Amino acid sequence: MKNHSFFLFLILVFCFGCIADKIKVEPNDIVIKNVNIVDVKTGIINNGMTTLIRGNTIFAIGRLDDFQLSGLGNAIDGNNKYLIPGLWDMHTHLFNESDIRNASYPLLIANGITGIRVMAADCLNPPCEDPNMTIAQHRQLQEEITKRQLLGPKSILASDYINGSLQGESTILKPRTEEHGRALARLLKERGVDFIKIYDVLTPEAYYGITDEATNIQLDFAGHVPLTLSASKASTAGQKSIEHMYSVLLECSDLEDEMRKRFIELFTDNQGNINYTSAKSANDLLLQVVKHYSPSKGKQLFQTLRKNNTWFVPTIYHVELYYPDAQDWKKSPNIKYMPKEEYDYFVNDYEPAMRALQSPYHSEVEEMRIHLIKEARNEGVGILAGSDVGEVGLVHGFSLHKELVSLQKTGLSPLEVLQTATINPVKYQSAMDSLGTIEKGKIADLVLLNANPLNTIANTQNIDAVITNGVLLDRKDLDSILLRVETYIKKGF
Amino acid sequence: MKQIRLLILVFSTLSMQGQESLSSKTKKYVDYARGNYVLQNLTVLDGNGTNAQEDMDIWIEGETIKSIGKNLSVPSNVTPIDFTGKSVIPGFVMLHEHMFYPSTTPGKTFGLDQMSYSFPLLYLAGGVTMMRTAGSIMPQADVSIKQWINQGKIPGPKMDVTSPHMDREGLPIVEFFTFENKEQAKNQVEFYADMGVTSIKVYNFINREDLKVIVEAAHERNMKVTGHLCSITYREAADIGIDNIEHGFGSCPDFLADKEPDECNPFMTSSLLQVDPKSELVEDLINHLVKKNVALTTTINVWDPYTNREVVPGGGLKALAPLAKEKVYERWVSKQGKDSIDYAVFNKLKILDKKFSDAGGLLVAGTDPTYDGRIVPGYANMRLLEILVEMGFTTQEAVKICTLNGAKYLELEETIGTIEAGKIADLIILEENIKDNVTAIRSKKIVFKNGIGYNSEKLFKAAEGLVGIR
Repeated sequence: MKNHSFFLFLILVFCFGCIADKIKVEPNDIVIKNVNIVDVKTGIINNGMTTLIRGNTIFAIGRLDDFQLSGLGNAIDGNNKYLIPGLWDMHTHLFNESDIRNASYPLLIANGITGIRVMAADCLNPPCEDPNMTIAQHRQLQEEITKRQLLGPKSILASDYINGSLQGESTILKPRTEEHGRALARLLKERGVDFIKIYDVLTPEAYYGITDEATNIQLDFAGHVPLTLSASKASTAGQKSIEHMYSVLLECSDLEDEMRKRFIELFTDNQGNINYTSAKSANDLLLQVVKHYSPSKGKQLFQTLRKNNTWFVPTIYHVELYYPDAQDWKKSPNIKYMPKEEYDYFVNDYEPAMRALQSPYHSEVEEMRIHLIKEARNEGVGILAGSDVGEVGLVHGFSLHKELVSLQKTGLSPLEVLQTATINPVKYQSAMDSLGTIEKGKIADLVLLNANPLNTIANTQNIDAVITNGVLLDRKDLDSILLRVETYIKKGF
Repeated sequence: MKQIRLLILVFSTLSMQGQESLSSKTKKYVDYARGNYVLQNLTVLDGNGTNAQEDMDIWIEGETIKSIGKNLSVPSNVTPIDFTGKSVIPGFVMLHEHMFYPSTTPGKTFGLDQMSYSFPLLYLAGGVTMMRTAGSIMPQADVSIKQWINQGKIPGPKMDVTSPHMDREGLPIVEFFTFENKEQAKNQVEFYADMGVTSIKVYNFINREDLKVIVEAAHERNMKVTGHLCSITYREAADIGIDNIEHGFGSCPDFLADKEPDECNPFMTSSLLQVDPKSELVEDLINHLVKKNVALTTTINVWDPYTNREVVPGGGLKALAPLAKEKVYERWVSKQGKDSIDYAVFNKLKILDKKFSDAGGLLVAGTDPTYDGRIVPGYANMRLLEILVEMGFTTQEAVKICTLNGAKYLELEETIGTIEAGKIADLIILEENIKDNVTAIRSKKIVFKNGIGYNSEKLFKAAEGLVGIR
C-alpha cells in the first residue's frame, strides 16, 4: 500500500505540468481509457490510467481528464482490463515464406507476441528446410513489417545452425580448426545475421575460433552448448544465451566428464557428424546424470551464468508433450492452425525420433528440471521464455503461452514469468529505451488482457486486443485473423 | 608520348586546383581537410620497392609532400599528427578498375550495370587514389564521374578513363558496342577521344589490321592501348605496338598449339594449364614482351579460388545488394570442394605473372570487378596486394606493383606512385604495421588524396548494400 501511494504521488507531480494544457487527441490516435497498467519491472498495477498511442509510439499516459477527447480517435474502454507490454517468444523456428506470411506471423500477433527470436534464419548451404529462407528474405519481411505493410513480430535473426566437424576435413562451412571458425564468424557477420546460432557439434578449437572472432567483430553468439564444452565455459566465452536444459543438467552432475564422453560417442558417427538415431540410450544416460546431481556444481554454474550475464532459455513445455500422460498433440484444438508441411514433417520424420529420445518417462529427470530452473532463479540468472516452436506439436503463438504456464509450474511467480517474456527479452537486446515497459515515448507493442496476469500467468491467454507497432487489433480483428489462418491451413490439407 | 602525357598532367593539375571547395557530400568523409600537417612516427613503405623505414615523419603542405625524414621540426603553423604504431604506403595506382558490375537480375545473365555511386566510394575506401578504368559501358558517365571527383562534388579516386571494349561482333553482352570494319574502328577512337576518354581498350574478336589502325589512331591522340586478347596473340599485339595486355597470362592465346590467325579459340585455359613455365615458349614470349615495352596487368584476384576462401575476397559481402549477395553466395557455396581447376589456373598464373616481372617487365595490377560478382572494388584492391605476396613478392615489391608501376605506365611517376618530397600527397595510412604483415592492408585506414585525408570506414559504410544497384 505504501508503494502504491508513492506512485500516485509521482503521477500527480508528473501531471502537474500538464493540467494547463490538455493533450489533444487526433483522428488516428488510439486511446485506451481507464485501464490497469501492469508495471512489469515491479509488479505494481496502476489503476485507471489512460494511454494515448500515436503513430507507432506511446504518446502519453495520464488520467482520463488529462486528455481532450472530443469524440476523435479510436477510444477503447480499458475498465477492468490489464495492459501489458507485447510478449516475446525467444526461441522460435520459422519455415517457408508462404506459411510465415499466412500462418506463423498472424498466429504470433493474434497471441500478443510482438517480438520473436528466430533461432535459424539464414540458409547457408541451399537448398535448406530449416532455415528455409535466407537472411535477406527475412530482412525483406521485417521491412514490410516496419512499413506496416505486413502484420508480424519484430525479429532477432540467427544464422543457420552452426555445426562443425569433430574429425576429418575442416572447411569454413563445417569448421574443425580455429582458423576456419574465425573465417566462418566473419562470413556470418557479412551475411548480416544478428547473432550466430551455436549448435551441438563443434570442437573447442572451432568454438573458440568462432566466438573469439565474433567478439572482435561485435557479433553476438547464442544457442546450444557444443557437446565438447560445458555451459560455464560457453558462458565465460561470452555466449549470450544457453538454450534448453541438457547442458545444464549435465554440468550439475558429478558424472559430468564421463557422461559428456558417452554423449559425444552416442550422438556422433565415425566421421564426427551428428547422428540422433541412437538417441534411445540417451535417456538412460540422462537418468544417470540426474542421479548424481551435485548441488554445489549447480550453484557454481548458475553463479557463473549470473556473473557473465548469460541468459538461460529452458524451453520446457515441449518436453511435456512426451510424458506418457500427455494429451496427443494431434488432438489439440490448435492443430487446425498448423501448416501442412510442419504437420507432415512432425508425424513422419520427427516425432518417431523425438519420442525415442524422450521416453521412457523419468520423473526424476522432470523433478530435476524444475529444481534447476528454481535454482537458476534463486541465483539471479536471467531467464527468457522460449517455446521452441518448430518442435513437434507446437503451434506458433499458442506455444509461448504454454511455455509460460510451464514456467509458472516450476515455482516462479506470475510476475517473474511475465518478465521472462517482456522485460527480460528486451534487456537481452539492450532495447530498454524503446521497448519492454509501458512508458511514454516507447514503441506501442501492447497486449490488453481481460484478467490480471499477476494472479495467474494463464491470464495472458485471455486477450482482448493487441497493439503492434501502433496498429490496434481488437478481439473482432483477432478472431478474423485466426479464421483466415484456419482457412489457409485447410486449403493446404 | 611522354611529353604529351606531361601536357595532360599539367592539365589535370590545373583542374585539381579547382578542387579546393569540396561539396558537403564529399566533406562528410574527410577526417583531415587540406592543410599543413606533419604525420609523425610512421613506418614507411615508400613504393620504390625498398625496405621499410621506421619512425618517419611526412610533412604535407597543401596537396604535396614537402619533406620526409626523421624528427622533422614542426613550425607553429603546422599541425602535428602522431601516428605512432601505424604505417603508410602510397595511394594505389591500379589499372583495371571498371565502373560496372555484373547484372543482378535472377538467373543466368551476361549483362552489366553501371555503378556510378558505390564504386568511386569503394575504390577510394580501399586506398585507390588513381586508377584506369580499362573498359567502360558508359564512357560519358565515367568521364563525368572523373570531372565531378576532380571538382570535389563526389568522393573518389583520380581517373584515367578508358574507352568501351572495342570489338567486333561475337559476345552476347548487350552493353558492348561493336564495329564492322577498320574505318569504323578508327572513327570510334576519335569519337571516344573527343568525349574525354584518355585510353583505349580492345577486346576478344578484333583482327590484327583492326589493332594496327586502333593503335595508330590512339597514339595519334596521345592515348595508350590495352587489350584483353583472344583472337590476336600477345606476340602479335606486341609487334603491332600495343602498350599493355590485361589479365596477366590468364587470357594468353600464344600457348595454343593450333591457333588460327585472327580467330578467338576457346581452349586457352587448357593450354595455360599444360604449358611449362620453364619452357622456351614461355621464356621467349616474356622476353619479347619485355623487349617491346609491353606492360602486363595482373588481375590474378579474379582467379582467387573458392574452397575455404572468402566469399568476397578482401571481405565486403555486406557491400552487396540483397540480390547480388544471394547470387554471389550461392555460387561460392556451389564451388566449395569443386574448384580444382580454379586452383590450378590460380597457381599457374602466380608463377607466370611473377616470371614476367622477374624478367624485367613492367607488371601492373588491377582488380577487374566483373566475372561472377565476387570481385568488389576497394575490398578486391586490398586482396590483390595480399595475393601478390602469396605469389612470392616481398611486401615492398607488391606495394610497388600496385603504386609506382601503375604510375610509370600512366607516365605520372614524376608526381605520384611513391612517397617522396615534391610528389602529390596520395597516401594510405594503416592502423597496423604492414612491414611484416601484408594483411595490415585490411586494417582501419585514412586515405590521403591530393593532401586530403578521407576516412576509409565511412566510405565503405556509405556503399553498404548498394553494389548491384547503383
